Amino acid sequence: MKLRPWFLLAAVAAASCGGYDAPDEVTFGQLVYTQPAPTPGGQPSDLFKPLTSYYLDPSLEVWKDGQQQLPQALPSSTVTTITTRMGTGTGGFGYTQQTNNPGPGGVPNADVGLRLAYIQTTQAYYYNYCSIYWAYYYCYPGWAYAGSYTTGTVLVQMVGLKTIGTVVTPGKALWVSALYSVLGSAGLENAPRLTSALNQAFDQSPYLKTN
Amino acid sequence: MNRTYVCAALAAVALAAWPASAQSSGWTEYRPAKTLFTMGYQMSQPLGNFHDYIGSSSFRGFTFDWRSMLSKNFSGGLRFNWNRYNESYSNVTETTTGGGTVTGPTFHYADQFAIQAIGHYYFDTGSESRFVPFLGIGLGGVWSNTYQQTIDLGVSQSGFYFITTPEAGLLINLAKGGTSAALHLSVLYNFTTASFRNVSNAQAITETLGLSFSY
Repeated sequence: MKLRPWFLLAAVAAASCGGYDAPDEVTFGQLVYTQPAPTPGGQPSDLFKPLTSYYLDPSLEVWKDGQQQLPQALPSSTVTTITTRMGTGTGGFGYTQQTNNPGPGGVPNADVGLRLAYIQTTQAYYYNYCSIYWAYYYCYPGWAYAGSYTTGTVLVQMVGLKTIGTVVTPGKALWVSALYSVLGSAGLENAPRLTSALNQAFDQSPYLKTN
Repeated sequence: MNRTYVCAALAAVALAAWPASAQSSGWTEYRPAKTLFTMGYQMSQPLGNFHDYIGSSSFRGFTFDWRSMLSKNFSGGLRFNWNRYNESYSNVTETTTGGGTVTGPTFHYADQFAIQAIGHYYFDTGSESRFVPFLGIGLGGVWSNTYQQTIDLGVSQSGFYFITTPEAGLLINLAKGGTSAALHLSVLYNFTTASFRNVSNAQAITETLGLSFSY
């Protein structure tokens, strides 16, 4: 009978390599954050029930690594998603859309305004393999690897445009959403992830519904 | 005369060979074991709020221990074991303290490396019995390393904590002699003081399937 315990050790060592890294569905997924304005002593829905109309800014603020870029037009799929979910149709929150663009410096004739910003961030990474062997600190240049990738985060902000009751005032942020990692290097041309993230943001914000 | 010398020489060689022969048959000549080594594969299922953190079973685990018989039924020794737990969740929704809501995929991970002083009691089932049930306990320290990730955002925690491990098991003798081999089956309850995120005193049920060698 000849036992080879090293086989077992090798199998365990091989198994130990697994399970350490997050799967692609996590690393390349998307994160959706939403938050209503504080309503001390009340419910978030109290804030939105008196509202009736909204204005969607057709231009998209664009930032790249902290520098503001020229604005872009909202993708049509994004406009469709927002107007469907905010609108008065089935499944909508019941707002009426105001489409008259007031121009620079003007205030739209609506209770609230919706505006989106696209923030591109370049992330750089560098990994190497260094170790201490006796008294020497070695780095293996051949083992190092470096690179960069771009994440595209979209911020959605709903701002009060009129004084309604005591809570809603012009310029006050009533609802914000951060859609993290919904646009990568591909940009806005192909934005199905932005659409699904927007839907998720509205799904987890049922208090946006008006009377 | 010459024949007498030849016979005497052959007898001397034969007699001198007996001890060597006895040594080489160490697997078959039984003697009570003094030292045991166990090497085994482990599976583990988190319990309590550790189960809330990682709900799935761990199939990555390993144990190695050394035991010395202190008396006929008691042994003392040292054990090292390692268990890796991980699970990913496709869409988790959580509410923040500020009233916000966040939804996204998450990955939870935990590694535990434990080293413990161990003591075991073996039930006397007779020298001819194939089965030897035992009870044991381990006391020591565990290095816990945990990690959480969503998208490209990750955070980790690590620390060294107390661990105690009551154990019940069974040795099934496969070969018995000067050196014996047995199949080792046991169930352990790992109680640690490892605390991270929403987990306090991480606990798990662990099963060992291994081989024990004794001599």
